[in-house]
Amino acid sequence: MRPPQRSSWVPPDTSMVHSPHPAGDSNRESATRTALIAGAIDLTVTLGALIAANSAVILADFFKTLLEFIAVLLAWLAIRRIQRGANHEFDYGVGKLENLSSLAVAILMVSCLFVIAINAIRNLLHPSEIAGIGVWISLVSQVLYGVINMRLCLRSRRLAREQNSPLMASQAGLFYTKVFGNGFILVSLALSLLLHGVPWVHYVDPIASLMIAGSILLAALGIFKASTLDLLDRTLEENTQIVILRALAHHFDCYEELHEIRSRRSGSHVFVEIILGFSAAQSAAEVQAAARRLKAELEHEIQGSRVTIGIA
Amino acid sequence: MLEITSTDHPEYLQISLRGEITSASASQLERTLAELLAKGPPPRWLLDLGDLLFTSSAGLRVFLTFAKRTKTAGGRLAFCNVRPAVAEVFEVSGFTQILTIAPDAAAAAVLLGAA
Repeated sequence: MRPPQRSSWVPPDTSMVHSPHPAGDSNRESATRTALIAGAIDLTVTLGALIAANSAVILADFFKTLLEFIAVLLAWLAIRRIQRGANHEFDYGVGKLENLSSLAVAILMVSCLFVIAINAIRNLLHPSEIAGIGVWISLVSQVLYGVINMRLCLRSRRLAREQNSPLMASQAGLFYTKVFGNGFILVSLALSLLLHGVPWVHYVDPIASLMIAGSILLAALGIFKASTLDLLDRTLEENTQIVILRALAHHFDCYEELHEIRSRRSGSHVFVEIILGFSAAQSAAEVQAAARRLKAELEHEIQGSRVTIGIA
Repeated sequence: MLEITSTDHPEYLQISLRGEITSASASQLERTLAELLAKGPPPRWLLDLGDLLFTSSAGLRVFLTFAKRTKTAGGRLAFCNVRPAVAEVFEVSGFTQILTIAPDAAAAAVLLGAA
């Protein structure tokens, strides 16, 4: 039975056509929605801590949390757009939306990095003592959200591995940096409270912040590189190329000439186009059967792939 | 960097590769092989990979295309002196099942029926 149509112009099966993993897309939307709710609560708690404390570290934490929330919101919107499916304006699907969303995440992470770095430099130049009930609110929330973020990170990493999704990979990276940030802020605040009165303790917070900034920079660069290259339609990575060539070697006697292999990635989808020449002695049925076998083998071997066999 | 040299033997044409086949140098190899093939295919070809240190998937693609073309042209093709790193790539990609590979040039000449 066909699912009910959302509107008259959206074909009911487009999500099936453009996504080889409809159930997987649903899991991804569910995972991102959970992250969005967790992020909204985190943002509210951090804002409360910020208002009730005079800590510059908590101020930086608030900006970082805000940017992360925007990043998750963008990812959720992208997944919802993909879930609704593409219309005839997007014959290859809207997978690049995932790459664009990942790119936006990377840019937001760099913005976050600047906020933390500027704040850390200011604290190094003008060391101050932290105080207020907000510090305790922040300590409790770092523990709580450290546990939640760790669970979300592991979930996103599993989905990224299972569905070969750059968006979920970027989400896993994002949650990892959040766990790292939670740990560092926790240690930084705890040291500031426990070693109250020790002169050098004022430098703990900014140094911890700079280390968090370093980890965010590394994650942002990785996401930026992968998303940009995929947006430029870079060919598939070497190990996938080897899989394609292995299939062509396996079917070596079924075709007469290899004219061209083209490949690219669009979000979590992989497109492979192979142009083969066949002998004039082969019947149309034989050619079709050979092309079908090769296509089936490749689509089985390469997760999320749509293979087109062109006949020259 | 890839160096390609060809040596005429009475019974076969030997092509020796030196360096690495990357996505950049693969097109150079493809062009050279196509030009040699266009001159009128000799019945037997020997690709000496003794000095080939590395090949990417782009190089494998060239070998696959060339193997197909020589077969279609009724020629014979053998590879020799394949280094372990390249042999491993041949093994993983299933090329050892479709290509004729000999330990050295003399053995390859025998396989080509030229000795």
